[in-house]
Amino acid sequence: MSGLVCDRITVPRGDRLTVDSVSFAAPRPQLIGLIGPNGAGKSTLMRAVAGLLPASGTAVWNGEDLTAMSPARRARALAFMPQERTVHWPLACREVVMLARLPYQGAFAGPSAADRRAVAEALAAMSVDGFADRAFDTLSGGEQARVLIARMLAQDPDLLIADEPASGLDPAHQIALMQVFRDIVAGGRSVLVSLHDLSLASRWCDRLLLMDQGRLVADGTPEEVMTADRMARVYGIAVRPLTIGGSFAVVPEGLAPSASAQTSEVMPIEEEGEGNERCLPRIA
Amino acid sequence: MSGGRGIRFPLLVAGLASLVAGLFFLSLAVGQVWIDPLSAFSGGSAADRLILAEIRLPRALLGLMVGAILGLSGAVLQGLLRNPLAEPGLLGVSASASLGAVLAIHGGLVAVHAYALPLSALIGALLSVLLLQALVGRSGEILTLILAGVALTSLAGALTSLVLNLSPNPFAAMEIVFWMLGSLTDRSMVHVGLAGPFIVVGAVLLLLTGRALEALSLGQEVARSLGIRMGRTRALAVLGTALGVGAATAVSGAIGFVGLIVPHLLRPLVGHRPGRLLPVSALGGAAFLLAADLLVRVILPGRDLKLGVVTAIIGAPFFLWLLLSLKRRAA
Repeated sequence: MSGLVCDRITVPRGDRLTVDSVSFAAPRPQLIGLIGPNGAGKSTLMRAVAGLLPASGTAVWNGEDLTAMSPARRARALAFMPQERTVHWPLACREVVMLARLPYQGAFAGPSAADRRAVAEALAAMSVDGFADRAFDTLSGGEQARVLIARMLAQDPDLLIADEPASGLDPAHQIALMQVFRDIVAGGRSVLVSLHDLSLASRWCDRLLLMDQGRLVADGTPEEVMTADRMARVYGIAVRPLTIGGSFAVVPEGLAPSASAQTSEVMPIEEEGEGNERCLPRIA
Repeated sequence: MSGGRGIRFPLLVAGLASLVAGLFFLSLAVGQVWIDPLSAFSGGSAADRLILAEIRLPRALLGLMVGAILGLSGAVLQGLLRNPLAEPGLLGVSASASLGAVLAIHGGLVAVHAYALPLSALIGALLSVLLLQALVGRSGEILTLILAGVALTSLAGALTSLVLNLSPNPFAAMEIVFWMLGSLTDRSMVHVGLAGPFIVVGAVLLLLTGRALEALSLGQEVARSLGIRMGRTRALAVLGTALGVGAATAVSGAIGFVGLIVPHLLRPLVGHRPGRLLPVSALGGAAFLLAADLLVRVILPGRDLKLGVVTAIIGAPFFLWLLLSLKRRAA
């Protein structure tokens, strides 16, 4: 079977499961959005799929288990972008993006013409070619994010896994980013991306995976997943479904009255919603 | 353009290499008597040839090798730990080699055989790696590595102090202190033959980390997603430092500041790229140590000024100036 097939991925941490038996099958090509409140296990699931932490279960990409692949082979199959946006030395942006080509270069070989082309295309795709020769640490947060996305694009993989790539971007660059992802999918590849912006997720993704407390609680098209009822139960918010240019989108309106009432009896809602334990029944 | 940096890199390497070659030549020529190495070999006096072959050549070769491995190891450890304050002494290898040497002096082994000292220091360095590996294990967390290195340095330092403390013979204590100051004086080709192979193997292992260090600029997680094996990289860095720096300490004593300053100084010239910094730091370290060893001979020719003292005296204020000027540029 082609595409990404995850079967019962489980990641234990201490005595609880950060990711609890998550299974889904995604025929390629798709733009898959991973959504859920803070602490739902989104980042951990992405790391497990990328083979970056020990997990049980399998993540099969085009018939091959990603978790059992050699690091060198996996580096050509998938690219991963974590939420932390650190570059430890003040490298020029072009050099940061060029690091993505390491899996294609021999031990002591310099960049080939193909490497330079891939880097130039990635820089242009994220419109950061204008400051390609500036040092990374002199850029703004959003610009840094775009350079790191360009780094992921230049790796030229069949599967892209990005943790919160849109956070910190201005609206124009958020939309441009989603358009880049759509182009990648149109080119026959898949993208797995976690998003906090529900409007962005609903408007651009082919498919959404909704996680809550380590479990996959809903899987389907944005319209199927983002029902008002489910958003109230998982996120504790009220959403307004919209149709924009013929496609579905949701806009968060406010806290869900029932959810906020119920949670506030147990504990006050924190500003960030961090660690907000809901005592509502989970849907299976 | 990356091409622009690419053109500068070979130029930088060539420039540093010719600087090292020039200093190496001067190192053969300068001393109690001035000898022109070229004319000495083609038809100089027998005394000149003897001085060159038996005294100046081993000293210049050791300056070259010890400086290179200190610079290289410093660059690797700074890249691995992503911290500009890392230096070859961090892992406790130098302190353990010193302890081995001190034990050889204290135990009178030095009197039994001339090369008991470097051999004993080398054994100290190798034991420290085994201990380090046992402490860090296969988990190989970077923080564990640093803490184990700090612990090992303190332990070896404490044991060295204990030996000094209990030394019944003031001359032995004096000898220990002088040896620990670090020097290249009165070394022979046997020292070169003893340390050379270890330093060369250590340098090769260290140079193999270049790619991984480049990828590590993006953090451990992204480096792993780029196909880098972190365990292998760490093992190369630790083993390379132990062999190379251990052997260097064994023949020259503890020479500080080279491994800290040289990578720091050269980093901007390679666009801050940690992989490219490696060969450049090796050349820079060699140049720095050869120059310092020349200074030692020129400033106080008769007084046996110790090399380690000079590198620290030049190094520390220079490092301070560097930090302040970087801060000023950032502000």
